[in-house]
Amino acid sequence: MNLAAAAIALARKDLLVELRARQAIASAVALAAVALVLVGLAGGPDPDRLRALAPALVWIALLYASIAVADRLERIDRADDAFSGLWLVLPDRRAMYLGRVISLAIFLAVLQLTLWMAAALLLDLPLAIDALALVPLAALSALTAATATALVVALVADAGHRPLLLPVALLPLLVPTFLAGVQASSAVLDSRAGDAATWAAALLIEAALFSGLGLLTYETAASPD
Amino acid sequence: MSRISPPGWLAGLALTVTILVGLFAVPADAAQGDVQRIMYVHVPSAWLAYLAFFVTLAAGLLFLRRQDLRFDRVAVASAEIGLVLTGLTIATGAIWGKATWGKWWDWDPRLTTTAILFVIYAGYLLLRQSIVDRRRRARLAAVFGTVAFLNVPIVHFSVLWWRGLHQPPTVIRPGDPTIDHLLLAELLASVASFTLVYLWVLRRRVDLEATRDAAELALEPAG
Repeated sequence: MNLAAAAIALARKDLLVELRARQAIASAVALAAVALVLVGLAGGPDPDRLRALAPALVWIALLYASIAVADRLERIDRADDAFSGLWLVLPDRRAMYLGRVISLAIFLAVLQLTLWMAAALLLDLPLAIDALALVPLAALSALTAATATALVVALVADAGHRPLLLPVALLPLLVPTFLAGVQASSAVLDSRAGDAATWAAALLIEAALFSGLGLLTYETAASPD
Repeated sequence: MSRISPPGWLAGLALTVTILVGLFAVPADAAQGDVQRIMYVHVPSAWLAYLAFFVTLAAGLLFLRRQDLRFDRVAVASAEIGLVLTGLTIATGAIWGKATWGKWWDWDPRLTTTAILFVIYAGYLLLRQSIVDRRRRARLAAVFGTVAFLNVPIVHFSVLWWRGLHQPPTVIRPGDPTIDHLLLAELLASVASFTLVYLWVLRRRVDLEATRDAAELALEPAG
């Protein structure tokens, strides 16, 4: 089985497990909804202010949800020595990183689109036809976030204080992704196609950097010995 | 009792002399007045923080290649010094900002990315503290140090990529530096003395880490 086929098989495994258990996505949606409502409440009732804050709100909710999803997927793998089994069986262990990136990216893209719909309802966002560009943007930004998250979650998998360590280690690294994502989605909502394309290019560069580093270092980072 | 070695005295003396020259001998900036003198601490702290994090990156990569714990000792020592220097950069920048901009903090891209750099390397040290096994700790820290270093160029180029309050580069830029030559000479002397202090503290911190490793090894159960 080559690298791509193994990665797709592992991503499929993650998605199937989640479709049957519906734990990661349920907790992520709940977490994201709470974050959206709380920050919306803290921001006050001014609709213009909330509309201006919407991209940042969606992204803050998404970042916290990404931690919940990634942690859940990693814990499933580490339970009952499943991870060690995969480690021994796979000829190219980078497939484990790629598989996790694919499944996380799918989860985060779906979650992001769900959040945009929730934001449109709760924050009265005027979603014009241009807003359809949020769909490919969600896919790209989810991929970018997934490339960093999959690596960091493997790094801290066996560390002590993991619930504290994971956000502390991951969130600062995701700040460039957060910034580019917020700016790109703001540009889409304001129909500024040129700006959106620039920030989407920044997301693409970040995805290339993180996935390059991930492929180079995953085996070192995730080795169970 | 530990004594300060001749390189330590030399580094301390160089730092004291450059600080005194910066405070009393070099004229104040024509536009900013005396508050500009904080530049002789702020800029060297920032540059040395970049260097310290680069050393962490390089030492981490060397550890991954050679599996020699001496490189990991250099990596952690340099990261700790880099974190202190980043904190000093933020603190001196805030003092300068209060005098010049009228506020301690602004959500300027350079300030914000520097604060993020601080948090990332605090995370690096936290990750190290959370892993008991010595070799595993070194391995995972080396990977994290590699990913963390991606933020350093973002901090440096943030003043060019985004508009903000922080001034653009005045020394490392295409063309001549936009700073008086006497002030530039004092700034470079400050950078040199800060570098000596960095190297001396790094050496002492690496020795301390080696002692800690030896103690950990001695306490491990035999077999």
